Amino acid sequence: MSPLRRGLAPALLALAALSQAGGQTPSAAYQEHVAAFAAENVSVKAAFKALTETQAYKDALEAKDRDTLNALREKLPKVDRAGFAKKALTLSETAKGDEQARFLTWALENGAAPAEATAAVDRLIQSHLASPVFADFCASQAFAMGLVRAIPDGGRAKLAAIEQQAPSQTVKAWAVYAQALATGGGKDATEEAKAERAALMTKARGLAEGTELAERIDAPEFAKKHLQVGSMVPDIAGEDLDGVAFKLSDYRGKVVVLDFWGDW
Amino acid sequence: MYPHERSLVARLKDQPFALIGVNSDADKEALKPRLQEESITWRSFWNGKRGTFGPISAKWNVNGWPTIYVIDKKGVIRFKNVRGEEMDQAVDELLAEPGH
Repeated sequence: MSPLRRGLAPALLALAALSQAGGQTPSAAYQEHVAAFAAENVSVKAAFKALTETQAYKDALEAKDRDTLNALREKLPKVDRAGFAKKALTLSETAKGDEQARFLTWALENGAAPAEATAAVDRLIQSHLASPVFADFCASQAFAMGLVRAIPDGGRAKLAAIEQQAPSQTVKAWAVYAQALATGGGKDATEEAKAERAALMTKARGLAEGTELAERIDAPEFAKKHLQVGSMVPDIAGEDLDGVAFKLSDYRGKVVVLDFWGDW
Repeated sequence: MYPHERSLVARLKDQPFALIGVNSDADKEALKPRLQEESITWRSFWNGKRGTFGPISAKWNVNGWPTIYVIDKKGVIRFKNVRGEEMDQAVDELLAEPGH
């Protein structure tokens, strides 16, 4: 493969994935913004790696000298996540349609501070509840768990508004699920809060019938029934890292170690 | 993890054995050079662009990584979350069983 194609292929794949989520292809402005953020992440990572290779760092690590390690880490550059989110909001003001939704959801997925997160959600509710970009965002951790954290004061109310106003049943289901997760989860939750959580979860499950969210909500029950030692293993049908479809059952007749892993 | 998995795969390359992953990295393209660097030759499902929040780990109720299942030739789950030497012993025990 030529160096040009090698560089282009991942970019084109990323673009294809993005255009599936929204109607139009993301604009050059959006791509530039995402690329700048990625570049900053890479340089911060490299700075950390360089630090871990210095003698001072190695010595402090060897001696388990927390204070020195913290002081050394303190000096490292940091990704200005809130700044990038602010920039995305500014860029969203002149963007239209899905493009605007893309900037707003990007800000919410990448560390917007409460003021920006509130502005982004309000705008999404006002103009983008039916957007495929918004629907895609609703199926993310940043929405399901992150929104009430990003907006500690009023995040719940935003979720309730999305539940009421979104035209899509799946989006409503995710909004109810996010409210359930934000309710009665802690160790010291009252019986009342726990009951409210269970009721919201049941409601979300009803709305989510036949979707990926239904499987997510059913997972603890599924694990109890089908993932015990002695259970027949459930099949997995998916794609490998090259995009080739295969099934776990293709390996029947062999001893299989199934390993949920990540490179981190 | 990688060195142990590499040696397991190498040791059992002529046996009816497969190591199958469910990779939970969000950025598949960034992972590809790492597969080469670490000589990760075994096949993995991809858990999708949401990484650890993806659909396979969600359905399987996975809340910690790595999570490991050891499955016999008939497709029965026989061990969960065995590591290192324990994993080797589990696999060897199942390989010694008849297939059908």
